[in-house]
Amino acid sequence: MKTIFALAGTAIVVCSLAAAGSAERVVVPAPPGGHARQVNVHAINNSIAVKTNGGSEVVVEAGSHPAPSAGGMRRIDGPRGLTIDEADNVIEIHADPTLQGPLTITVPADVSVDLHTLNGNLSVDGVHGEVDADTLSGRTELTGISGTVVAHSLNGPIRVVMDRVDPSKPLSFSSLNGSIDVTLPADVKANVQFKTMRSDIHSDFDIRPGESASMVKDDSGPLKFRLRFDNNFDGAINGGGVPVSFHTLHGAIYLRKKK
Amino acid sequence: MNCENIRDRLPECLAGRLGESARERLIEHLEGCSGCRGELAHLGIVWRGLEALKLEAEPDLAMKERFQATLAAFEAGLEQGRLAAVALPGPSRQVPRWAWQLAAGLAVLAIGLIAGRGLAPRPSVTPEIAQLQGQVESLHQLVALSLMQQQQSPASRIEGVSYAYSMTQPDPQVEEALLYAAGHDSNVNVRLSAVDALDKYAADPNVRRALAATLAAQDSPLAQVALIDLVVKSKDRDCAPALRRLASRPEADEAVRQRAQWAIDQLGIGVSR
Repeated sequence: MKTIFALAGTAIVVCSLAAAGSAERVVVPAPPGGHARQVNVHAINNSIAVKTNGGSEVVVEAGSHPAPSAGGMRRIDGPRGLTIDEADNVIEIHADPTLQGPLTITVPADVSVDLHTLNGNLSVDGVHGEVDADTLSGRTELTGISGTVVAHSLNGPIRVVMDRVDPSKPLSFSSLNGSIDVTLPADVKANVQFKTMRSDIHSDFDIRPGESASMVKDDSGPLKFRLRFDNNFDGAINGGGVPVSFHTLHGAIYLRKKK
Repeated sequence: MNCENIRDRLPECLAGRLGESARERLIEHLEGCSGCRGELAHLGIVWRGLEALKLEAEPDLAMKERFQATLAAFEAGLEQGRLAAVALPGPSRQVPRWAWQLAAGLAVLAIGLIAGRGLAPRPSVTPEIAQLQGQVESLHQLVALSLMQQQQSPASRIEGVSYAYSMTQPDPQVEEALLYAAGHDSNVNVRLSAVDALDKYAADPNVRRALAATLAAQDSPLAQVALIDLVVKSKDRDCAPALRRLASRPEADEAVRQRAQWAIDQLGIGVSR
């Protein structure tokens, strides 16, 4: 039994296999009776775009477009510097620093993705699962997500639009200098926590302030009380629920209600 | 132990009746078995439901407000009645019949609300509740440790951290896991949530000792700033060397250097070298 699993589950697909198909396109076949549950991508200089399809296979497209001087000829040597491993329904994609151009990965909708790059942009559209996105200086754009998101960018902006939020998994967004712009369904039940040093926080949700929004009584003047906000601010949306945290130093925070 | 064995033992473990070695074997199994983790998660949902029930038994804010408003209206009605009595002496000082009816109605409502509040189950610490709290606590520890080891899912690790945060009694194993997550987790957001959770454990000398090393090893500017804030909050002067290094490291982020300098000033540790 174990041997069958080992045979079925551990397939190593290296870029040389790409030559069998189209030059810039690697198809990772779905395991029998299912599809990959997790796709991890590690790159340094490449942007990573994840799209969904109705199928059950994972398609990786990489490398730059053929030069005009190729005159319509196909590249036949395959994208160098791309390694794809598959084991136990988890697909690992590694791009060497030598790999040029963006990576486009088409996945089944019902999958979790974990994307890391240093100097590229990240985009994910339509994934139903957990999305982890980490970039140093790129732009992060996650749209049509159902499930949960953990996103970090050091210097780039983060924009997230969620169709549905998994009520059992926390959401977390952090950026040192970039703005964080998150749209959640209007009926989301959430406990939001903002930690920031010099950022403005904007939202059209009704947020009931929690403990860290300290109330200061001031009877001396015409004011009955004054609401003072610390660097930390937390509150509940629609009575509270899934934890949603924002950490930033300088970037603005926008928490939008999905219209 | 096989899965059947493990699943038989989950309720015992949740009830805190499992010995330490048996519990460790169980955790070890959970790390490698998604089926049993699922089973545990199901049990966890039941426990969370129980906890939510406990909270709902307390009168909510809206109910309190309704009660206060009713009471105020009732008092205002009484006051008006008294004024009317003073202003209109003699046989003609009849307060309209409907006002009395209204006041009586409000009084009954107010009494009902007060009685309702009085009868609502109060969170008193009976031995059963203490035992239940102990069980919830050991469940939190188990779930926290198990979730924090989910290498594939940062969201699960953050969930584990929030379980750790919800524990009332500091636990050495959980502290260690939080410190490890704050310093070494591959995901910056997990590190940040771990630093937030450590806030609760900062009074523990073991945690304070480890903070300096965690700060020195930290490479994420956001986590560095969060740790610096925690150090200042816990007045941890042992971190002076790490703070000075950060404040004077040219390759560190400008905001981090400023924050480290601010911390040095706050803690009054700037003079000695």
